[in-house]
Amino acid sequence: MKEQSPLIQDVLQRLEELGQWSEELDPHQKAPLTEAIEHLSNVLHGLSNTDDELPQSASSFAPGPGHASLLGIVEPWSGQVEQRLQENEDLLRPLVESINLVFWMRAPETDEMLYVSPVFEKIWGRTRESLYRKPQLFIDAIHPEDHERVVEAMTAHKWGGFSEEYRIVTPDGSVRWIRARTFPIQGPDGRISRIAGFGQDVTEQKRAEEALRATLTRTRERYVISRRIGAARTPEDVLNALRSLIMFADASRATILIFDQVWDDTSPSRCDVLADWRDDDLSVSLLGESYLFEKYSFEKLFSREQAFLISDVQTDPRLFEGARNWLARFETRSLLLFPLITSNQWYGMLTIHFRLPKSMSAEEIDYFEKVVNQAAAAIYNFHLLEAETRARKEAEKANELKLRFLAMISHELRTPLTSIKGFATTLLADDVAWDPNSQRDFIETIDQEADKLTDLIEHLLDLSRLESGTLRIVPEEQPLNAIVNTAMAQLQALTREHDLVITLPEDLPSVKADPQRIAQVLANLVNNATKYSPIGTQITISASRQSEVVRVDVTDQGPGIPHEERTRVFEPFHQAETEMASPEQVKGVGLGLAICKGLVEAQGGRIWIKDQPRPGTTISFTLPIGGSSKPGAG
Amino acid sequence: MPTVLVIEDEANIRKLAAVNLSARGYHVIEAESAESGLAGMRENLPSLVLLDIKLPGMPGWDLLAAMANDPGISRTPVIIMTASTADVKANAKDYANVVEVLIKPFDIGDLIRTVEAALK
Repeated sequence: MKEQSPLIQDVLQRLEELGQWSEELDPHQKAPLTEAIEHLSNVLHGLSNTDDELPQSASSFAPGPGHASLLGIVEPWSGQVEQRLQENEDLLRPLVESINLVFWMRAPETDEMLYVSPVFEKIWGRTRESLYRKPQLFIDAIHPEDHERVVEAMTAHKWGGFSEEYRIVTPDGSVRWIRARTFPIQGPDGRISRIAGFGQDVTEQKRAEEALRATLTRTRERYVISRRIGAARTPEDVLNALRSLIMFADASRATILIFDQVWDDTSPSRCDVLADWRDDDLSVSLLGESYLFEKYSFEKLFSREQAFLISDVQTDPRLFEGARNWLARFETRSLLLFPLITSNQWYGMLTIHFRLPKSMSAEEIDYFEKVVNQAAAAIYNFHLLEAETRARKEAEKANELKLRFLAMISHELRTPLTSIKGFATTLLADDVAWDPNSQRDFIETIDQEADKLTDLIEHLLDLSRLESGTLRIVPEEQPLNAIVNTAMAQLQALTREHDLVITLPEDLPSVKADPQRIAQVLANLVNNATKYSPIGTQITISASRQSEVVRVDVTDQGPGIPHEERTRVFEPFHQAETEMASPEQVKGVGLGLAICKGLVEAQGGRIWIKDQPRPGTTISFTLPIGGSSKPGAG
Repeated sequence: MPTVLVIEDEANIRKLAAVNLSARGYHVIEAESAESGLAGMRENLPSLVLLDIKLPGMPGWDLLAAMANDPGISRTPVIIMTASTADVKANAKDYANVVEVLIKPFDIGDLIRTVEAALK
């Protein structure tokens, strides 16, 4: 049995330490390392016990250029370990490569790299020669975020004992995790003559750990959010729970939109804001707002199939101008949209707004979608509860409105009847002999009042037919101008005290509508406008093409309709309380707009009141474009 | 010649009352709202007021209350005209100067007789 030199004994001792250290590793990592250590030990055990037997010449084993000069100043025995390692590289390679283990030897005084095993090239992505030439490479490769910490530890453990995990950046820009340790090796004189180092590529392990940590975080997050959703008392609570996801830390607004009907074969006509969260109290709250699909082309934007991100609302072609402007009001730059589906019923959308352009991985969106799906049922229940409460209130209100309507209709019928009966009995009076002019005047008054009574009864009948769905509508394809001409005589008669302006673009496509019924709508709207706007002011009828419909606007300069009344005025029997109107301006029983709504909808159109600052009102309605005017039609 | 003030927002009903009362020798002045009616009453001190109770703006009831608080006109007799089937008659009992409630549509003969009776 050969005596071993103190140097080799020291290396063996370090290998033993390395073996102990490897106990901390996962079994599958530990096994090859142990094997490598054993093999290395065997190689070293086989070395001669006398230093003299080893070659003295540096050139015989010099691992890299510049190394010869180093050997000139170190002890004569010092090259043997490096040389042995060099000689055994091929033997060791499969083992150390399999565990991505790098072994190196450094001169502590000069920091020169004396030996580094071949796996270095694979992990660091650089040649061993480049490291021999420039040991600083070892430090330069450290990831900027870890640089300070690692260099500090290296300086503190210049003589061994360094033990850190850190990232390196390879020349191709990829990042790898390294676990490194160093050990001092003493020469025969007791001085530390070498620093041995082991570096292992633990990138896969780190990534697995990170993935596991992320999964754990998300599992915990989902659990916490599930509990919050379960405990939610309001739709806002659900929204806040969803919004608490880490990935939405920078959201500026979040809303829950509920369609006016489940979206299946037919698309909804509007959506209401059930809950609205915003990151500051200054911006306008959307709670209770209602948005028409028509106006924002939502039917093209919303998707039942999947959640999607609009990274930049300013440039995304899917957004219609109206929606873009609307979003700009809230400084929304990117928008995340999630369909809300429960029991296979698509009933709404969840939107998350961001002030900056945002990118998000498919995994992130997918993860959030799972959380949203969990919330969808809870939101739906809140929606049902709210809808029920609202329906009850509305039923109560409808009942009250109906009673008021009966009183009003009685009043409205009795007023013309009073004139008719009054003037008839006036003419019949025995005690006064009326001159022929007076007699004619009285009869004309009776005639006028009888017409008013007829109109009123017609309105009531129309409304009744619309409600029962028995109103006869005969749509024809024709230009809007022709329809306006149909109504012209009536419109002019109505606007004797106002300035009626009709501006229709020449290139308007034909519409498919019943000309008599649309004339009736126009007359009703213009009649309303005259009732509510000051004498002499302008009443405008204009029209424009909006994708597949023609939109008609009737604008007046009356006091305007309060925001909260804008949906309700279309309900039958409703009359807006216009506090700004002068006494004679509040007239009628509020059937006109209800009839207009029924007539427009029966022809496949929609009607609404434009959101605009008061005074002034614009009522818009749409008519479908006729088949021959549709894009692509022959 | 007694002066009768007709307060009514419907032009044709105002005319109906005016021509019939004028033909029978009354001096008729007209107002289309409670506000202008009150002003006209204080200015002309009519012998009788024909009042439509449902008026836009200030309601007829407020006009009656204002009359009660004004000693100059608090005793002027009032005939209410109403198309409403609500409790106008019952509510009118609160005002001593309301002499009659005519429900629209009414017979002109009834109107003339009521006015004559009120001014006796």
